[in-house]
Order: sequence, then structure tokens, then C-alpha cells
Amino acid sequence: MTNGVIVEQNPGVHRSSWWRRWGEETVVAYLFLAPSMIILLAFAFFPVVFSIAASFTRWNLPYRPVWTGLTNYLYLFTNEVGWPAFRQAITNTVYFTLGSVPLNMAISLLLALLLNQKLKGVGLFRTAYFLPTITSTVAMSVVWMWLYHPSNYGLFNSVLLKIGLPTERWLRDPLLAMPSLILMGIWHGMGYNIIIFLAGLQNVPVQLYEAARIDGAGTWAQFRKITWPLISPTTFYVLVIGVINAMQAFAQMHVMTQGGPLGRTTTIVYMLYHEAFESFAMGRASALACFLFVILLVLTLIQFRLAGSQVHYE
Amino acid sequence: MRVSRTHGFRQTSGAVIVVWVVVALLAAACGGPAEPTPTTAPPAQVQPTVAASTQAQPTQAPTGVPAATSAPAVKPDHVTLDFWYSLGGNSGQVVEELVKLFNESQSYITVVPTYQGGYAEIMAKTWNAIFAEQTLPQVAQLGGAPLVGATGACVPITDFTDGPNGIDRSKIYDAFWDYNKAEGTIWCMPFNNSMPVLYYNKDLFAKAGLPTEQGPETWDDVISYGQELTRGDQWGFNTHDDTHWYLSTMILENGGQIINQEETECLYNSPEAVEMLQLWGDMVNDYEIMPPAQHKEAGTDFLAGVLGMFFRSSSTLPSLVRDAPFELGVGMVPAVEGKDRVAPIGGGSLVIFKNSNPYILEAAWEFVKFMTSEASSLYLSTHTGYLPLYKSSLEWPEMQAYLEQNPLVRAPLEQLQYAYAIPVFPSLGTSDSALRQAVEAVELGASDPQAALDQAKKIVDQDLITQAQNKQ
Repeated sequence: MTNGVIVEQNPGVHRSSWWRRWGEETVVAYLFLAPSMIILLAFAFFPVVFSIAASFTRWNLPYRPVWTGLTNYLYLFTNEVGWPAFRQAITNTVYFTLGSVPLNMAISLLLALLLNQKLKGVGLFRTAYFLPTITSTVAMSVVWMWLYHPSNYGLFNSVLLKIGLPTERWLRDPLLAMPSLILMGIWHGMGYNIIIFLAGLQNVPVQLYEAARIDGAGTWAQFRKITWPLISPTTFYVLVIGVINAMQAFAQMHVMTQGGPLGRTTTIVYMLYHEAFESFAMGRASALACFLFVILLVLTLIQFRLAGSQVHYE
Repeated sequence: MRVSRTHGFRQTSGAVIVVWVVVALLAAACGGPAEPTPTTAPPAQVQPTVAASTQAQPTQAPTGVPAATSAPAVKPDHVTLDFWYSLGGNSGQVVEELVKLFNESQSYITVVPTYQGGYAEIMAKTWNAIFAEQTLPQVAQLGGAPLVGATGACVPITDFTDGPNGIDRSKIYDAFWDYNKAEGTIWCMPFNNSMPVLYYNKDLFAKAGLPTEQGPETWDDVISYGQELTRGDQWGFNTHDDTHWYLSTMILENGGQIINQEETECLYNSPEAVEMLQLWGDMVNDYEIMPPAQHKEAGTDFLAGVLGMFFRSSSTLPSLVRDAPFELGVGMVPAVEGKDRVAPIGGGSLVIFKNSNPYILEAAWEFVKFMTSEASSLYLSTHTGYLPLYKSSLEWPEMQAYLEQNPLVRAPLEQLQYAYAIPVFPSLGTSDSALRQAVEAVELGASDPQAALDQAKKIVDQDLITQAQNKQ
């Protein structure tokens, strides 16, 4: 129908056999794609290419960029100031990712299994668990700073005092700061994962469970042999997205710790922010972005390789 | 780079998709390419007409203004100026109020104020606009403003202040002019400035048997008072989280410097600086009057009544007066035993960006002149925690009446005689964060003061080299 309209509007177009065979449809297809393609090109691909180019320049705003080849990368990997900071940022990012993603997935799956049952008021619980996810990270961080307040009147500390335990310094303790952020991250990210897992769980055909029960399978056997393999595409999706998100953690560090104490919560993206918007070193920040991009790409490919064989698609 | 960062903010790729869709729809609706087109158009709306206005107007273009050959020879009827500012909350409302007063005071110029985020955000936007040759406003209120001057994007303010429609610069404290200097030129007009002051809780002081009428005079006093005040979960002393400012204060008081005259070498590891960081560390680990790395919570601790002395910017005074459930005291910056007080100023200034039209520059100066007049300075300093610019401010009858009602404001005002400007240099952002890291390392016992400051100096010197390369 749409073709007809287009043709109607362009009665003068010469229709060669080439045009008729695939040109017309292709042009129409591209016309439909154009709006989002232009957006993508302008706001996604152009900045990516620009950023890659910028990473090979010395570019401190507001001066013009100057080509310096690999200087920024050498700074990150070999400089006596750059490398220790960068190494710490990588360590912290890995710590945050390994600390939050698996735990988050396990808890989310467990809660999703519970919420998948036909109980009264289950909708209320589903909503409750999803609430943190739609809360902005910044607002949530401010609230959690009260929970983690290092004084005795901090919420967690006052509870600890009540039950006779020593108080903690939470975000202000170099060893506890990252675990504290991970805990908050799990609470925040859980809702999204639960929804995805729920969708996965509800796609598992009920007949399989019925058949299993008839064969005498217990709850654990049902989960192990039916649920787990059948929701594997969901699990895999949650894993990949979780890793990508965790590797880019920034907002909570920015609000709650500014990368401290002792740089223990400076993630790669926080370091990027510091270079770009405190030191205004855009070239160096772009090099960090490119590094993170490559790492994410490689990690995702590895996950596809390793986990891909475990994933069961119907 | 931007994409990966913004993506990081979103917990869900779903949200990203929604944003994409919305943007796509908007773009489709507009029918144009989505890429923002950098406008080169002059942002001010000028209608050159010959009509002679009856309003009182500046009649002469300032001297020394880069004259453009294409400038319209005819004076416009009306000029609209864009004004970016970076003060939020109550202070922001006061800025808006001042702009309104200016707009109502005459009909020739209309100023359109826009809040552009805090100092860091407005600076990023300004740098970006300068670099990408995008639309800049005619006037902006920025922190670290003289750095913008050094890029050649704005007109040295002395072109106006020393011109025919100028002002008597000697009426304003010298430190404010120094604060707006870069490479020997005064680039911008001092506007909103603050200094560290020592807030204290008079109730806790009284309970500890300390004199309540005056804060501690010296850092030794701070320590001895602090020891009296520290008990149970109550701390004696703490600073806000911009620790670099407070340590800089102590370093300057002790005769140290931040950077050498040529601005080629950071002096953070001088004996004067090491001695002060040692003192700072001792307050945490030896005298135990300050909790380690708890500066972000110091403000809430102070308001909760579990902190005796709180070192923070004078700009916080109004909100502390409003929120403190105890009797608040304000003292001057404590001195190093046997030496003078030094109060390094911070804050923002007004810049006038270059423009090929002399009438716009003239109008911009008219606005800046209004915003920094004695009347406006009085208004700003009696409605916010910022300081008046003028040496005579303590003698103004209105100010005296105000001090009668608000005696706490007296300390910061009297402290103005010790005002000092830390040199503004391009590596300041790096330098501040390096000093904060040094403070944290010493507080948490991860490093001794000498090693921490050696490291800070190394980081800053590295950045100074990069900045020097940029200039070439």
C-alpha cells in the first residue's frame, strides 16, 4: 500500500527493470529507516568515531586537539602517574562487576521464582521489588548516604548499636566502601532482573512441569532439569547486560564517594569523568573510553563463546 | 565517549530505547537532520534603527575593545543579552532578582538569565562553546573565570573599568582583582566571593567550659578546644569536603605557596606545606579530634550537634543560621601561631565575551557594572553568604543595620582584610584533586605527609607540562 502511495507521488520516475526488481522496495525501506538511522549516525556512530580519533590527540579544552599518536595510551599504561591510577581503576571496576553481577543474578532469580507463584498479593510484591529500579541513581545514592552515614546516628549504625554491635564507617572505610556500593547496586538493579527472569519463567511450558511431577521429580529436580535449561537465554541476557552495566558504574561513585577513600571506588568511568571534566583532558578521557569499549567488546565475545554453548534456544 | 558514558547512567537498556524512540519521533516531526547545527549567528538581537532613545544610555564605546570593521555604525534601539550563571538554590534566586532589578531600571537592555549548572558544568559548557565556536552568551558568571580570559574568548575587564564609563577600581579589595588575573591581565569582574570561616557550636562550647564569644584564634587553640569538645560520639573539629581549600589556607598562613611565580612548578611539597599536612594528620590520628575521611558528612554532623568546630565556606552561613538547632558562632580563619591570618577567596566572577558589535559590549558592561555596584554588592551580601566587594562595606549604614540584626556576619566581613587570591592557573582542577587525595591518604594513615605531598606535586607538575604543550 505504501509502495502505491510513493509511486503515485512520483509518476515521472523511470522504471527500469533494476528499479522494479529491488530498487523501489529498498528505497522505501531506507526511507522508513532514515529517521532512526540519522539519529544513530549523529548521536551514536559519529561520537564513537570522533572519540576514537580524539583518543590519539592531546586535547585539553578549550585548546584545539593535536595529533600525538599513542601518547594517551602510553600515559595510561606506562606513565608513573597514569598507570597506578589506571591500574587501580581497572581493579576497582573488576571488583565491582564480579561483586555485584553474580550475586545480583542469584538473588534476582530466587526472588523471581518466589514471585512466579500464584499467591495472593503477588502483584504488590512484584511492584515493590521493581520500585528501586525506577528510582534515579542519584536520588537513591543520596538516601543511601544516610543509611551509610558513619556517625552513630546513621541508619545502619544506629541499628548496629541497638543490637550491641560496633559501628562501621561504611563508605568512608577504604575496605568497606566498595562492598557498600555493591550492596546498594544489588538492591537497585534487582527489580529489572526480576522482571526479565519472570518473563523467562513464564515462558516455560507448564506441561513440562506436569510431566515431571507425574514422573516423580521433586522441586529441585524440576528446577535443575527444566527451569534452569529453559530460562538459559534469559540468564545469559541478564548476565551480558549486567556485566556491561556494572563495568560502566559511575553515578553512585560520583555522588557518594568521589572515587575515594584512597581511590578505592574510582572505576574506569569515574576516572574518565575526572580526566574529562575536572582536568579537561579530552584526549586522555577518550582513550579511557576506547579502552573500556574494547574490553566490553572482548568480554561480551568471550561470554558468547563460553556461555553460548550452554544456552538452550527453543 | 559520550555515548558510553550516558549509557552507563542507565540501568536498563529499555530506558535507552525509549529515549531513542522519543528522539527519533522528535526528529521525524521536525523533518530535519538530527545533528545540532552549530549556529554562527550573533546571539544578541539587535535592531539597528536610527531612533534616538530617551533613555539614559551609555554614549561612548569602551576603548580598547577589539573594533570590528563590520560593526554597525548605528546605535540599536534595544539590546538583548544572554547571561549564563552558575549559582543554584537561594543564591540563584538572588542573582535572578538582581537581573530583574537591572531590567526594570532601564528599557534599553534586556538581560535573559539562564542557569547552566554548577561551576564544573558551566565551565564544561563554556569550554565546549569556545572550542566548537558555538553560541556563547554575552555575559557569564563563572568560577575559575580568568582561565576563560587567557583563551582569548573574552575582553579584559580593565578595558571597561578603566574606560570612560568605568569605575574606581581602588574601592574594591585588591585580592578580588588578583583573583581575576591570569597571565598578568585582569580578565573578569569579581562578583560572588567567599572565604573559609570557622563555624562553632556555642552550646557545645559552653558545655565544655570554653569561651563562647569568640572562636579559636590559632590552630593550637583549635587543637586544645577540640580535645575539650571530643567525647563519646562527638568530634571537636572537621572541614567540609573541599579539603584542598582548607589545607591551602593553612599552607598559605604558614608562608607556603601553591605554585611558583612562573606557574611552571607546584610547591605542594615545601616544608611549610608538609608541616601543615602533618598538623592536619595529627588532628586525626594523634589528637583524635577529627574523624578520618568524613568530610562529606561533616555538615550533617555539625547540624546534628555532634561536631564542635566546622571549617567551611562563608557562603554556607545563611543556611547554617536557618538550620542549626543550637546557638551558632562564627569565627575567623584560625592563624598559625605567631603569623598572620590568610583567607584565600573562592567564588565566581562575571566575564564579558568578545563581540564584534561595540554596542553589545557596551551594554554588557552596563549590566556588569550594575551587578557589581555598591548597591548590588550590598544586596548580594545581605541576601546570600557571599561577601561585599567594597573596602567601605563595613561603613555602609545599611550594612551596619544589617550587622545589628545579623551579628554573625561580622566575622567574615572583618576577615576581608586578610583576603588573599590563590593564583588561577590551568591545572587548578588537577591540583585541587591531587591535594584532596594527599589529605585523605594522610588521614587514613596510608601515607606520611611528605610522601603524600611529593605525589601531589608529581601529579600537578605532570599536568603543568601538558598545559604548557597546549599553549604552544
